Parts: sequence; structure tokens; C-alpha cells
Amino acid sequence: MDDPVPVPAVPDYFLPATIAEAGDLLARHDGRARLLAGGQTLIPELYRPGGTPAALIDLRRIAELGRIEWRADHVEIGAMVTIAAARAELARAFPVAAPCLGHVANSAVRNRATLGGSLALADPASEISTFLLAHDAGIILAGGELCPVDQLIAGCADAPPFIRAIRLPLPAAHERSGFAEILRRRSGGRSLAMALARLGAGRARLTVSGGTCQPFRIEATDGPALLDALVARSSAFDGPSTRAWALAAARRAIATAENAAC
Amino acid sequence: MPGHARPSARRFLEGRGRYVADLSMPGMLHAVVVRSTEAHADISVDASAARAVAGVRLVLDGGDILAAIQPPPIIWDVPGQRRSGLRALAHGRVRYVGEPVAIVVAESEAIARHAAALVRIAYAPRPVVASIDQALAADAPRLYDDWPDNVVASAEWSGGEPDAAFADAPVHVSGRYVSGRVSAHSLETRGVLAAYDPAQDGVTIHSSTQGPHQLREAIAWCLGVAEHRIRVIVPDVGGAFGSKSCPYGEEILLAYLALWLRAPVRWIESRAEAFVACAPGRDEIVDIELALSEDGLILGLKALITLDKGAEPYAASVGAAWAGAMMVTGAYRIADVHVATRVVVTNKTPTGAYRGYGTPEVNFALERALDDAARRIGIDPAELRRRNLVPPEAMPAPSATGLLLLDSGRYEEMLDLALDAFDYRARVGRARAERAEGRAVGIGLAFYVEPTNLGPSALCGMIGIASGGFDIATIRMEPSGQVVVFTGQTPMGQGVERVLQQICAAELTMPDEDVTVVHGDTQACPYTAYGSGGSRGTGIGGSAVMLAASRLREKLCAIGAHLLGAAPDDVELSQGGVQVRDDAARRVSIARAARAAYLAHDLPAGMDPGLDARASFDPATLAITYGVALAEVEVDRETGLVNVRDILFGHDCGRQINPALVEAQVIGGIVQGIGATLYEGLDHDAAGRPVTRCMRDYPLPFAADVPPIALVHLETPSPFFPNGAKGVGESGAIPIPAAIANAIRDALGDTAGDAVNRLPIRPESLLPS
Amino acid sequence: MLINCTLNGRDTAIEAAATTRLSALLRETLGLTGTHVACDEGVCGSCTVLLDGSAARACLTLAGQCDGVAIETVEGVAAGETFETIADAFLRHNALQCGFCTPGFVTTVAAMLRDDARERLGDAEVEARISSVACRCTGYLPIVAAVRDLLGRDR
Repeated sequence: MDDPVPVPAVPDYFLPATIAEAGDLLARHDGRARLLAGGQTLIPELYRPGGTPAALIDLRRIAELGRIEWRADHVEIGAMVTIAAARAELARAFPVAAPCLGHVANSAVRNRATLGGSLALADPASEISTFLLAHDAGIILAGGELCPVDQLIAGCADAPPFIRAIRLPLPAAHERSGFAEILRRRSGGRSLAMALARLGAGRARLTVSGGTCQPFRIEATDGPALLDALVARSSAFDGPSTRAWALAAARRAIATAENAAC
Repeated sequence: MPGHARPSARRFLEGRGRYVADLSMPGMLHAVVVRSTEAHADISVDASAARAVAGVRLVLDGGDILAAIQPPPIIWDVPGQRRSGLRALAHGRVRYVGEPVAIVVAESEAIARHAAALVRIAYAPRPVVASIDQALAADAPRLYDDWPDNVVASAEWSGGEPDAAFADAPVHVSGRYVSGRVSAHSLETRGVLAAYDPAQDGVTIHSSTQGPHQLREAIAWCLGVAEHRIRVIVPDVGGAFGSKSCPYGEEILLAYLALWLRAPVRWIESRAEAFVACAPGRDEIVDIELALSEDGLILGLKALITLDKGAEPYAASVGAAWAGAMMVTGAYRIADVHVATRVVVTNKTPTGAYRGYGTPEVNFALERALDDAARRIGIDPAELRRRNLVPPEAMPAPSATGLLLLDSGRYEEMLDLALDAFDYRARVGRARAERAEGRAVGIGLAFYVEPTNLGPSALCGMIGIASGGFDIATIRMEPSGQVVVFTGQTPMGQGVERVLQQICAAELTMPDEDVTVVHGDTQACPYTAYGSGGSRGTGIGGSAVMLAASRLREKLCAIGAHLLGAAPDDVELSQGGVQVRDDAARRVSIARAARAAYLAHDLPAGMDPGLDARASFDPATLAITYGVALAEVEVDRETGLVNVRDILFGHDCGRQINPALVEAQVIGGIVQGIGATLYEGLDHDAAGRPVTRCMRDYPLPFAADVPPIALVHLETPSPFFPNGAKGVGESGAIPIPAAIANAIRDALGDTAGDAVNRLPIRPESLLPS
Repeated sequence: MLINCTLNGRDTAIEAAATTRLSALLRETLGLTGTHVACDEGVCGSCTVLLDGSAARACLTLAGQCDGVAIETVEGVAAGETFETIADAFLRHNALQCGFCTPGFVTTVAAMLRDDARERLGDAEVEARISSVACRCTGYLPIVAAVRDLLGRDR
């Protein structure tokens, strides 16, 4: 008779109170610990075969990660701020926050999912990365180093990063912006394509993603020029349908921005 | 409480529903099924590591059950049909991703899951048959070595002189119409709790099923256990829509495990499992040809129905194709018809019953083809249908093949009612104007007929259904005068328990709340030949209750007359009492008569004490519900997305015993129909592997996806049913695909191409290429 | 770990593995089977509970995340004051059939009513919240009607 095989141990669970403490725990487990933010992406992963880490480090007691601080030229949002809270809070300076972040998953998931967790784990072709990329977000990592969001989205890191906060430069007062997303169903679900347009004085910017294509930015002088530039880059998309959807999203986002009040 | 409401509905709001997963028992063990991850392969199984896990009680693979568990019975068994011989666990070879290979039983679900992951399956891949075309190819790999090809069964029927009709007809249209593979995905997955019953040396199975008696029969058959030692209990069922109508291997396995281990064992299907293991529906190709006169009369119809059965002719088997053959002529007079069916096996999850069961597939084909015919001839599509509808005076009207009898209905009146309510003429004009401005707006309609109240036992025998088509009801009046109805019907949200309560209370002139309905227990409830499927709960289950109640009424009246010293013929039951006709002073309450029946001190000579009645009801024919769906859509040319602006649905399901529940069935069906038309589809890759395996990838409609829906109805009682009721459970799902597809075709014109002939119609396919 | 929380209004200490899903903890350890599991990936909403007053998926919540949190399940909502009006509206509109998704709607609606009382919710927000729970039986129209009725909105 073989020796009975034990069922794998449940992971250790830590609730650190500071970033330093969490960082120590992460280092101590040498890659076998996972950071737990809202858990909306991580928890199903834990329950897949082989998905059990040695330890979970729950970040919700770290007060600093839950703060939103408005400064003169930027806002700094803690990594543990939920999508729902960010959506409500950012609306006063970012008119596209409500429509854009309102398409993330569903309302109950938005109540739990965090900006940091989503950025670290979720599909890069998401509303969150599109929003952050469009607004030139900087990601402040646990150690304080600042990393542009495009590096994170490119996903070069081996392990999900430990994000402290997201720094968003405030848009210029006269900027107009628009967001559009193409969805199979009105109720939401996986995005077919999305686009976020920012129109400023002499500077127009568009951030687009579609299908499996990660969001990318295009810059031009005005809306029509943005569309031309997008057409030129349409080989980035994984098929004619996605190209059509991305183009449609871009047109709509630009139109919304053009019609928006300053 | 509102009049339509089910007496038990409130507990669901309180979180007090009791579904299988909510049940537990002391000492309960947990089962997890290990499934194939390959579509077609020879396998060998090594379960030693799983067996060695602490807390694992048993691991069985296909070899372990060869002697003990027989292949399940075939429920729709047509002549010449081939058998797979497959048992509840695969042995030596797997034929689809998701096929059960082993089952692990452990002290906790976590242990069982862990051990299940340790069952090693070695696969030696075989060539895969992933589609109907591949299955029918001359050099196709065969799924079953002892079959000459991949065809389960085929058949054909003719009526009139179809070849002559086609030769003479001036107008021909033809097309290939594909209904994709979809799944019911009731919110509650399947689940079983089987417990050894030491008192009877038997087994009690709690299962989320639509057919408790059919499940009992299957367990008895497969395990060789006598039926009276098997008790099937059906707790609350969290939706079913056909997917829980036939016995599954897991149910048989769980019964076997409980008997073997003499312990309770529970298995709850995960959603991921449901995607590969719970029988999906549709996956059918219908080739149709119509011959018409220049003024739009349908002169002939030829159809070939090809059903992808998946990897084995599982229980409900070929039925969807045969039902399609019956329904393909629809609501129309067509004198010359030829219909052929063939059912093939592929390396995919076996298909089974899903709301509509063969009818939506042929409706989609016929109603799409009629639209093409109207365009070809140059008449309005509604007018084309009007010219061909069977008139009321021709009913009951058999179809040319003799397969379908249109029993009753006012088809043209229904069409007019719906067209008027939809403001059809004006909408057609507005859509044309919008199109002229560049918007892709269109109007579409589809007429439908729905076979309900399945169905005369003799017909079941004739078409190969291995059961009868009747129901039995028993009714017991308690000494205090309240009533308990016992039925084989199973509530699963449709509210059949409420309808039976109403029928019984009305027959006995009692308040509804004095009637309770007991269901879902094979030891307590009378036999139902076909369970809750085929939209038969009200028409057949309800008729049986009505007949039993009327027998009880006769006995009550006899007792009442005796107590009143009157002749039985001179009394009547009214408002909860027996009284001498036209003499309100001479009256006894039901309660007093009931008390007398149980005291038996003074009963009419020769009368048995007690107060209960039993009736069976076997209908003379099916009842054909019918109606029409109208849709207005706008297609976004830039994205291919379809916005359904409005739906109007007209229906006639005979007498409506509970109009609110009828409406609920229709709307629920419509929205499932929208899902199947625009969103839902189970896709496979070239290797036969399902690529749609989670809810995130299977876009069910949510609230925001539902357009405004208006309903109109007629009530034409079926002359063949004592309560006049026809079924309605499948109505909504039947014509919606064709109505929306026709509207999209109208919106896009010729640029729609073939996209509107394949479900689901996804935006990808509506973009200009 | 020992989880100290408020469960349906009562201070409760529960011993559980921190990585147990809240849905499993409620159903299996605490016997609160009104929280239903239908997809285990946060899509369907049958397991929706309220955490500190906000709708959340119990299947996407770990026991460890509930320490110090007020949890309200459908059983808790059913014992509360607003439940009668919710139940009346759902029954009046026949807004449930098989009942499996119903607890998810009840909790979602309970949170909606409280939030709406604080600050009127826009139509888009109402639609989004109703659309966070899947129902396969009703076709949603009666549910939407019941919710709009409860919120005092036109249909």
C-alpha cells in the first residue's frame, strides 16, 4: 500500500499593515507568494489546478494604498482603490472616467476590483489600461520607483508588480475627451474594441485597443488626422472585424470628444 | 398575494429554496468526475495516485463498471438506430472532450478535486470528426468501429407528389439553414445526492431532473435493481429547459456508488463541467427547397434535416431531427412534401433536448425560405404567409406526410391581430424611409407552430418513443376537507404546481389555498409517462388532475346527497359545499362531507370509506400551439451589431389557466431565442476541442440586452383536451431566430448574404468583407 | 484563521481557512444556502452578497477578506425592513421562476434601494446594476418592472 498522499496545504495568509511589511513577506516567500488586492482576477486562479501559492498577502489593511490624493497637476490613486470608487472620484477631473470604467466587468465586481490589482493581473486590453495609457499614467511601485504605464501593459515582468499607486496628470482645462467601446451585448462582457480620444489645443490623442491587441496611443493634430493615423496602423489588429470595430470605436470616441463641452 | 403567484414563490426570495446542492446528510461523501480532455483517443487510466490520497474512498474507471453498469436505455428509439454501447464511464477510448473517464469519491469535495487531478489518463489520439461534413465524408474516421459509417439513423417521408410539384412550379427557392450549438445553461447546474436506504436495501436519489420516473427506470435498467427499491426525489429545480429531461450517466453512477458504499454521495456539476457535459441543443443543418406558384402558393416542400448528435446517441437521441420532420411544414397547406432526416455522430458533447427540440431549427429554415420566396415573387412576406395558412375550417388538418395534425387554431386571425398590434404596414414604410436615409433598418416576421401536450401513447409508440404519453394524478381530500394533489409533473420555475392547484381548486369549488400539490417523489407520486417536457404539464398533467378532481367531486356529491337525504342527481358542488340544486337551505360543507367519508358511520350503500380519486389522462392528439413573432431591427453598418428595437409576439396556447404564467413562459422563451439568435454559441476548434468553456465566453442575455416586447394572444381552446389548454413552454424560443434574421435581411438587403442563414448571427458576419 | 465579522447583523467569529471562498463558507460552514453558486467566476451574480453594504460576489471573495467586514446575505436581507416591499414587488410582477438567481437579485436590489435613498441613482446605473445578475427564466422584463417600481421610476 502506498503512503497516503496529503491534500496540499492551504496557503498562509498575511494581512500586513505597511508596504514595507508586505514587501518583506513577498521577498521571504521567494516568488511563491501572491499579493491579494480585490481578488476579482486572482481568486478564480487560486482554484485552478496548480494555482495554489504558498502564501497570500492581503493588502487591504495598508491604509496608504487606499488613498486618493489630489495635487495641483496630478492625482495619485492608491493601488487598492476600487474601480467603483475610482470611477466616482475621478469623474470630477476626467469626464471619460465614468463611461470608461463603467464598462469594467459588472457593477458588483467593480465594487471589489482594484485599480492596482486589475493593472497587475488583468487582461491588458481592458478599459483600465486604456484609460491609464490614454492619460499618461505613471505607476508608482512599492519601492517608490515610477514606471510609465506602457511598460507595465507590455507585460515584460516575470511576476505581477507590487503597485503602490497610480499617478495621473490632470488634463488641461480646455481638453475635450470621449470614450467609446464596442460590445457584443449592451450589458457588457468581453470588449470587441475601445477607444479614448483627448483633444487639446493643436494636439489630439487617441488610445485604442481591440481583440487581443493591447492598447496603443496615436497622436496627431486633430480628430480626422487621428483617424488617418489609425487606418495606417490597422495591421496591429488581429483581423478585419477587429479593425472595423477599432475604427468604429475611434470615430465615436473622437465624435464624443468633439461634441463635448470644454 | 397576487392571484397568479405560486404559493411557494416567496421562499425563493428569502433564500429558502432547496436545491440539490443545498442538501447534505451525515457522513456524506463527495464525488468528482474526471473527464476526457481529448476529443478522440484511445486511453489508459492510472488511478493509483488518486486512490492513495488520504480521505479518498473510491476511484472507479470504465473498466471497474463494465459488469455492474449497463448502457443507458434509449428514450427515442427509431427503427434501425445504431447503439453506442457506451456506459457511464469511458472504457479504452474517449470520443469527446468532457466524456466521463473516472469518478473519485472522497470525504470532502476538496480532497476529491485534488485526487481527481491525480488520475492520469494516457491518450493515444485518433483522427477527429469535428463537424457534420467531416462525419459524412467518404473517408471519414469512424467513431464506432462496428458501424459502417457515422450515421446513427436516417429516414424519409413523402406525401403527395413532390417531384411532380417541383417540376411544374414556376418559382423555386432553396437554402441551407444552420442552427448553431447552444446550451440551456440553467442557472442551477445538474446535481445529484444519492443515499443508501438501509430500510429498503435500496437507494434514494435526489436529483435536479425533469423526469423522476424516467430516471428511476434508467437506474433500474442500468444497475439491475428493482424499481421499488429506487426512490427518486426532486427538490427545487433551478431551471432545466430540456437539459435535465433525460437520465445522465452521473445520475446512474451516483446511485451505484451509494449502493456500493452504503453511504450518501453528492456530486454537483461545476459550470466548467456543464460546458462540456450537460447536453447542449440545436447543432442542426436544414436544407430546404420550396416550390411556389407565381401568386405565392406553396406547391411543394423538400427538406433534409441533418442533426449533429455529438459523440453518441445519448438518451433523447435522434428525436430532435424526427420532431423537426414532423414540424417542418409549419402552419401551411402544402400538398406535396418530401422530408428526410439523418443523424450523425461527431467528436463533440452529445446533444440532447433544449427548449423547442427540433422545432426552432425547422422553423428557422422554413420561415427564412418563405421570406426569400416573398422577395422573389415580389409580395409582402406577411401576405405570402397569409395565402398559405391552414384555415380553421380545415382543422384538424393532417400534414401531407401524415406526421403532423394541426388540431385547432385561428391562424389568419392571429396574423392580423399581430400585424395590427405591431402597426406592421406603417413600420414597413418607416423602415424603407430610414433605409433610404442610409440606416440599416428592417422588419421581419415568422409564423410558428409548436407541438405540445406530448402526447398520445399510441403516437409515442408509433414514432419510437420508449414510453407512453399519459399522466396519472391522484387526489386525496383530508378529513378536514383540504386537498392534496399528487403529480408526476416537476416544477422547475414554470409554475406547474400553481396551475395544478388552480385546476383542482376550480373543479372542487374550493379556495386555492386549500389545495397543496405534492411532486417530485417516485414513492409518493403517481407515474408520469414522460415527465415535465414537451410542454405537457398543464395539458396532460392538468387534465389528469381535472379528471381525478371531477371523480372526487362525484363522490363528494354522493356523500353530500346522502347526508341531505337527496338524490345524488339533485345536488351539486358549489362554493365549497354540496347543496340541493336551487335550494341553498339544504347544504353541507365539503368539510362535513369529508368528515363523513372518513368516519364511515353512515355512507351510501356500497361506498368505500375515505376520499380520494385517481385518473389517468392520455390525449387523443398533440395540441398545436401557434403564433407569430415580429421584429424591428437596426444593424450598425460600421460594427455589424444588431439592435433589436422592438418585438411583438402573438400566440395562442388554447385556454390560459394562469395568464401571468403563460406570459412568463413566452417572454422567457423569447429572450432565450434572442440569445440563440445573436449571442450564444458553443464553438469548437479544428481538433474538436470546445473553445467556449466559461460564462465569460458564453454571452447570455442580461437585462440590458432585452428589447421592448409586446404580447398579444388569442385563446382557442383545444377541442381534444378537457381543460382546453395547450402547452406554451417552448413558444418564445421557436420563431424568434427567423423573425430577427428576416429583419436583418430586410435591413441589409442583398449585402446580408449567407450570414442570416446561420445562427448565431454575430456582428463579425454582418460586416462588409 | 479566526474571522471576526458581522454576519446578518450579528457579531460572529468563524474559524475557517483564509482562502475558503465566502460562497463556500456561507453555504457549507454556516448553512446559509440562500447564496447560490452558478458560475464561480463572478459573471452570473447568483452568489451576490453585501459586504459593508456594497454588492459583491461571494465566489470572488475569500474568507480572509471578510475579517472586520459586515456581511449581509439574502437571509439577512429577508429579515430586514425593506424586504417586504422587495418581496411584494417581485411577486406582484412575477419576477421569478425557478428561484435560483433570485437571491442575487434580492441582495442587489436591497443595496440599490439603500444607495438610491442616499442619492438618486441614474437610469444607466440602475440598468447596469440589474444587468449584473443573470436570469435564464424570466427574460428580465418582470424583474426590471419590479425594480423600477421599487425605485419609483417610470417604466
